Amino acid sequence: MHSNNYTLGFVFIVTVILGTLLSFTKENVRDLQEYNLKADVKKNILRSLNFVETESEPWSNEVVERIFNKNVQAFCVNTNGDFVDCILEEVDTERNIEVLPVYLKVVDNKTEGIAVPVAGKGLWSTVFGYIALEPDTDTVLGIQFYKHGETPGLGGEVEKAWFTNNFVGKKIRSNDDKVIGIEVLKGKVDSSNPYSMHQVDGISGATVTGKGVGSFLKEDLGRYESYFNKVRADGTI
Amino acid sequence: MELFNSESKKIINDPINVNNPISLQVLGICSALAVTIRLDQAIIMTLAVIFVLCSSNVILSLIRDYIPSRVRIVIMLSVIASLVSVVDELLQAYLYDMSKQLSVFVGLIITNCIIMGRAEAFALKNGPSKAFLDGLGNGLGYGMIIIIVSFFRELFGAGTITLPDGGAGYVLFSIPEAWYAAGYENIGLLVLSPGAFFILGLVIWTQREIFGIEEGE
Amino acid sequence: MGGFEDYLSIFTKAVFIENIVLAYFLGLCSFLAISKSIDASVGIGMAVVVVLTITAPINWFIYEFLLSKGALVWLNTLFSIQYDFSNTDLSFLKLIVFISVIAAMVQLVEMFMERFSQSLYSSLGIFLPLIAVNCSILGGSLFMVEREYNVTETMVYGFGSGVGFFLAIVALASVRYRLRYSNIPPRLRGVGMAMLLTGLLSMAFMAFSGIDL
Repeated sequence: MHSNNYTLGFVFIVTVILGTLLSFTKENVRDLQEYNLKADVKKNILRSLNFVETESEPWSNEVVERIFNKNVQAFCVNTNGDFVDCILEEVDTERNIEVLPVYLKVVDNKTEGIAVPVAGKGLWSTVFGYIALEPDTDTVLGIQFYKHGETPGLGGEVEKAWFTNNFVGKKIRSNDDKVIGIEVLKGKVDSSNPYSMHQVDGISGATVTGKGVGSFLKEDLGRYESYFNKVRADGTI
Repeated sequence: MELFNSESKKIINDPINVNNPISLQVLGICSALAVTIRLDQAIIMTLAVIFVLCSSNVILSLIRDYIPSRVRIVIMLSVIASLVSVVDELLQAYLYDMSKQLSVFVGLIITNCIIMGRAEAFALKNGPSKAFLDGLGNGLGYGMIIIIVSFFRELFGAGTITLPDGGAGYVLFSIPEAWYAAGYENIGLLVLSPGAFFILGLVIWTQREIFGIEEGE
Repeated sequence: MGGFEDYLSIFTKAVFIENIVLAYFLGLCSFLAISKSIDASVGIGMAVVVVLTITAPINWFIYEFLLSKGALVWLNTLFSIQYDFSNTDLSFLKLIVFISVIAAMVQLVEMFMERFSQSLYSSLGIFLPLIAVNCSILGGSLFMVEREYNVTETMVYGFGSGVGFFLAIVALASVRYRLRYSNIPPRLRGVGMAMLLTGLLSMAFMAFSGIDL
């Protein structure tokens, strides 16, 4: 049997050694980890803006960084549609009420799309994503959900291509030009219905997730309404 | 001591075959099943477990004479937890996509009973080189099972075989479109959790038939 | 945020749909080893409920006020000028801290039980040391961090996961008891059969995933 002092001393030494080892590792990889996180966000923005990953050039962090710097302009606006200063990485995209990030897809000096972050409650969890519009600020160019805790196979299908592809080409503005978002139906879209251009097919067994997606799309896009109207009025971005 | 004498071979071979930690000792199944949806996840998980198992065995074996027996468990847990944290951090830095898919299951290597079990049953009683071999053998035994399970789950459940690479995985093989057109269907159940239980149950059965091992109920 | 439905939905999800054993495979080692006997299954099931309900909120407080990024900001008021703690991020220590808290809590619960309720201690006591290294306990704490629950949600989630474990292990033990005299191929007996049964149970629990709350 060892004495109390020996035991305490031993535990202390082990703790110090292990603590040092851990902190040392963390310090060495922290920058790389943060870089990964940022690249991942950018990757999702690019996907929503309809950039396509090719076989010949898979999206490593460097490639993502290069495409993003070359073709995407990022800035913030407020709910009145005026430009405001912000640090994009620090904007809380789940509760972006005042400062609203905007990402423009610019190819050969021509604006081809506008991506904005959206987030809100699904059934169990907060669903995060980006939705991109064409320059008419009406037609959906692409949508991407990248983080959620919905049930795999049911609500979890939101991130799958078959679901997100349905959004492409749909309209977010009603006939009187209000931003109304996209409704996720319970069941299939009836294409003879004139309202069907604002609707997409639901996921069977995940009605609540679909409703959630619809309502946060409406709410989040609504905050950008003034900015979208300005873009449309100017004709340029 | 010679590294590959018959005793060393036995230390490595036994846990792969007749004394496999998963299928025969029934240890460390928790994390094993969750990461078997895709082959690349299973391979990375195996490497992580082998690393933690070998290093924890060696470290604990080196300090085995100095550990006060009263705090033995706590010391073992903290050594293992630190090693797992290191692996977790490295994965986040160098294999980001993979670490996102494995999420909390990397952290759960700590409570993988194989690691605590081998530390207690072997590393604290044997020298570092034997402890290393024991770690390697058990890690390989663990890996063999989860790689078999994930191979079947991915092939028949999702219709692909994915190998690990730096990013989201390299698809080595996928079932041709023509098959689907001809009426072939993936077995969706295998991707969900019950599929893992069924396949592991069958693997255990097969292995016991091969080695002729029975268990009384 | 909040509200009764929210908690109800987290609870139902933890017990049935995302059952910690049947959907996330956590705590399987003890699940398979102990389900041989019904009495022991009830014992370890209750022990898991108790320990999960206690450790998940404790780890929540530790994570929220010591480990997560910006958690140490309250130190700024103590040492006003010299240091700025608002960017300190100690979350890389979470694994080692969580597992120590769990090990310590299990010991404490054991000591309290021994002191205050001999009958409870004699029925649950032997299972407590076992569950210190049960994946479901650590898993509970890690999931609560990953899903960003608040403190009440964490408590509900911890309790729900415990109840889920309890239900699953008692159900499996009962089925295994019934099968004791059935004619199972000798090499499938024991763990192999238990695996297949768990698969069936897991399928049965999946049927709950259609419910809307």
